[in-house]
Amino acid sequence: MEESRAATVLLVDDNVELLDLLARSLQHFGRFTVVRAADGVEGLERALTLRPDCIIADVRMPALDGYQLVRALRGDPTSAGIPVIMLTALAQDGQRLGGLLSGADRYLVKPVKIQDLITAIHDTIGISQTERDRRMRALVEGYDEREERGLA
Amino acid sequence: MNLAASSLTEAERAEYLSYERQRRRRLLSVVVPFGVILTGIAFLVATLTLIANPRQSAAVLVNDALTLLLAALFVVAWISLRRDHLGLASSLVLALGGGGILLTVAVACFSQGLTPLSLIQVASLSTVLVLVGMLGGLRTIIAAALLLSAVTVSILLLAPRPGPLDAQIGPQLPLLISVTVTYQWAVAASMIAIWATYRQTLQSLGVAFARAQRLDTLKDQFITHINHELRTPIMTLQGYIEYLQLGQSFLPPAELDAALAKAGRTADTLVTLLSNVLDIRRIEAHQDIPPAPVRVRDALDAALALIDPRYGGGALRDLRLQLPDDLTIWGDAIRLQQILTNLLSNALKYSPPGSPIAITGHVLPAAASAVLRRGPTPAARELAEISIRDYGEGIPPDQAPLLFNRFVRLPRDLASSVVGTGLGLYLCRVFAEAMGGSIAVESSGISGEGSTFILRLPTAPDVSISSHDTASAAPAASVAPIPSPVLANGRPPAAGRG
Repeated sequence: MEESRAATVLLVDDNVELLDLLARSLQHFGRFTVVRAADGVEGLERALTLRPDCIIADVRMPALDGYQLVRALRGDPTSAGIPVIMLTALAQDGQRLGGLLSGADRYLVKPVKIQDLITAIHDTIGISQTERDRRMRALVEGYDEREERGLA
Repeated sequence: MNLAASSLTEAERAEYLSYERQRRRRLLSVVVPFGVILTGIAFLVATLTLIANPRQSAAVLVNDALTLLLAALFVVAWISLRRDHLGLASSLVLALGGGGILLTVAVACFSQGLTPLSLIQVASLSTVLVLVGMLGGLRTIIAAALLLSAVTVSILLLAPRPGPLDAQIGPQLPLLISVTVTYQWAVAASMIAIWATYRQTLQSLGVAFARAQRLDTLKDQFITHINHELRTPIMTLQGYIEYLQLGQSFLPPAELDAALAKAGRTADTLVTLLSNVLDIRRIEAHQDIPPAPVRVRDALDAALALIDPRYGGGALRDLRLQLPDDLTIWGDAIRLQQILTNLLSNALKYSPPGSPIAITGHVLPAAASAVLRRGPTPAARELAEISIRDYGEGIPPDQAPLLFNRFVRLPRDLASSVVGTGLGLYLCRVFAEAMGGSIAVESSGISGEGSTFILRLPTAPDVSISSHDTASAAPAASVAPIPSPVLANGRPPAAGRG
């Protein structure tokens, strides 16, 4: 909150009510500049044109879901480094793993408190590409290990 | 008992057949080793006797060889059972057990003649029927009983009878034959009865198990689904509370008021979800409500007043209404209203904003009513048909039959943002059937052609024939925009197509 330039956060969610609440909250209490998108396709377009400092995306959305959105972002060198937080109602372990494996930096299961979301945004904005690569390696190795033990 | 003709699903039939296989496998796994051991011991004893006393008649040698063959074939049956060739194992056991007993009795009777011992052996032929009854079906039991009767009659008529016994048996032969054959058929009849009840029990068990399993899966899906559906409104509600707490010192009062109103609306959404779930329990309590005449128009007006304006997508829609004013059904006003509310809110939710919705109603001609009538409808009652049509995405024809089951939502809807519990149409079906009616859907599954939900309910006893005329002579559709009522105290619409 002490940054000189307000960080831009792109919110992607097809639930209008929640989108509205989150946008207002992040503006008022997080001092972020907030851009909204109502589905995955719009989210991808905004992300590629605006290059936000952080993206918060729902998973279940029409047209392009959250997993596809993150994979598309990570596949493009110009957007590969944008921090992404998945904010979703899909609470099962497999779904969480799927979210992280698709390239998201954080996977938050609804309901999440606004202050916790703001903290998560600050944490995620600071993340470096090296750190992201390290986490993904750890995740994949952990996944392989679990698979070997028949737990995945 | 006819599996094909009854209303079993593939899964239920498969479940029954797997039970039947398991039953036969268990039976065989007892009978086959027993057969191997018995024939093995018999062969061993006969061979040892032959070694100790080699001067025996040819019949004894033949018997020993036959016992060896039996033992060997029982081993083959054992191997096929281990390899899960149940058909082969059953046939072998039937042929060996049944055929073996028949053959040894026949050989003994014809070679040694009728003696008290061989007469007991003839009486014991019924054990063949017990074996066949355990492993075979109706036809096998009857065929075995016929064969057994033929063999028994042949033995008693044709086998040589040594002197002293011939004098006793001769005069009583007709009685002896009829009593023996009667006993055999009595055993056969008992085995058929056991087979039939066993089959019936297994079938019911299989069906019950398959249904319980399916319900279990549906409940799991439902819990996962409702868990997902609740998380977003709960986060929104919690979020607004936090928003009000954090912002009360510096946000303008208008902003705070708006947040409060939104929190209230979110709480309404949660109540809708919950009330749908609770409706299920209410239905399952089977509370019967005495029927009364209900004017369809009144129920429709009440339903329209409850429709959540949010589902309208903000656009006014054409409501094409073609409903005789005096169309009256025989049922319950609240239930009819609930059905119409559900169907209308579905029509709004699953069609693009601004697209029309058509509601038509008429009394079916007597002949059609007679064909379509179901449930506890008085015999002479006609059926009223109320159709609600939207012009949305439609329903894929292969998924249409699933719609009216509980906890069912179309795969397409699960992936979309349309809120639903998978209970709305189940409630419609149960309510319609409770009133002696039915509900069905017609849809090509082509986007834009939409779907038509057809509700058929018995008409009130005093309905006049003039409703036919009113319906058929109805003027061009009266067009009225759907009112945008406020969701006040009424029950919000049940959600979820399917």
